[in-house]
Amino acid sequence: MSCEQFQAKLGPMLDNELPSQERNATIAHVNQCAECARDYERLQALQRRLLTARVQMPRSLPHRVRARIALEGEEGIQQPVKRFFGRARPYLRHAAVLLFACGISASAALWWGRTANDRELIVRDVVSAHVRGLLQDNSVQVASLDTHTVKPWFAGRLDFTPVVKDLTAEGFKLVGGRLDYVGGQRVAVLVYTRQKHQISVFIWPSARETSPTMVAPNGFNLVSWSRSGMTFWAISDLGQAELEELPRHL
Amino acid sequence: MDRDQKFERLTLPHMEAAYNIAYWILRSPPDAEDVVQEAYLRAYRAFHTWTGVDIRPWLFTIVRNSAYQVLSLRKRRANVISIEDAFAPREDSETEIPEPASEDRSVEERLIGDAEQAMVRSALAKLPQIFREVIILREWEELSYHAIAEVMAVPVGTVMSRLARARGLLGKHLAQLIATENSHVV
Repeated sequence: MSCEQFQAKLGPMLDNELPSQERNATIAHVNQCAECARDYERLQALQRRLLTARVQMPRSLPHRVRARIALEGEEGIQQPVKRFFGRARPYLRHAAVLLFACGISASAALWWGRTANDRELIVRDVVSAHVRGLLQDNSVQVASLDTHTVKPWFAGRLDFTPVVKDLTAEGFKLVGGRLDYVGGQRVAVLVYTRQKHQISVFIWPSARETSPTMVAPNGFNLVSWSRSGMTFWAISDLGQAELEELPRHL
Repeated sequence: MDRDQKFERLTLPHMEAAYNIAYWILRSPPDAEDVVQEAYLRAYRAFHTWTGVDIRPWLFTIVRNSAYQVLSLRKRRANVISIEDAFAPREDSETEIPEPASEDRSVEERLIGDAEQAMVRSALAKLPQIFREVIILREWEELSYHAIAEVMAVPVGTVMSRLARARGLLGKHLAQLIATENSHVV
């Protein structure tokens, strides 16, 4: 056999993969061929050096693997859902549980909020709409003292016709009207003034009849009532007693 | 449980090897840990199907497959090709790596300890994946050619040619690194 043919045997010889006859022949060749002997030594050196490149696993890994296997063993035959969570990394499992809990509490909160207090939401909407009106240079979209101008303006913009009354005689001067958004719907807003105090009256349709109720959110006075198929919410920084006059006239 | 004890007794001693197989495919310690856990769990579930004498080829096949699953998932997610893979020489293509200018082997023997380890690791990292795997299974785990063929799902002849080529490349890479090191010193 030629030197080249022996060269190809060096690796398998090192790996103990040569049949004994071939092995003996190769050993005999290496013993008398300096070049092959050097190559064989190189292979051995490479093998030694390679061992230094091994990485060490984290010491806790066997413990974690055993724990998971033990868990698996306890659970025995599993349902697909369980199996899914079992396979997920532990923190994923915790996350899933937390997420589930959050989901339940969030939907409960939403449910309570919806059913418990629509009224509070409307109060909030009315207050912000009123304040928004005050902050603007012009709180009305149609400015007129004349009810016959204001009322038709709403006609094309709402699917109901708000009551627009001239209350000048009662001490409430009509400024005009605008549209706003309260309780998830478009509503009519009438703006009156009395002794420089601005009053916003929010109007939308309602089937109920209720007598005037007074509340005082955020330092404003707010009176609400329902009559003849309409709900009214009047808000102002006007004194409570004066504001209370309004339901009698509107 | 008897089955559990048998499983642990057979597989736990090879966990470090399993970790290395996974690590050198994924190059990320946390991913390698996950793969080992996943693979051991899979092996545990399928333990009743194992009928061999040496559990390593069977176990390492599971580890290797798990690691490749993570790798392909990672690639799909990133939608990128790693530079290493893009420029890795093909098994059959002849990529010429310049011979180092070192005069003798005594130079190699000077490098010891951490520097040596870092160098061998970087030489190993430069190998294409299929060559690196055959090196790990042979040089570290001392699997037979037959067992390596089983793990890598290739014929024994392919194992032999890959191993010869892997050793050749590794020797060249190392010599090259030593030469670079020397030129820095000089």
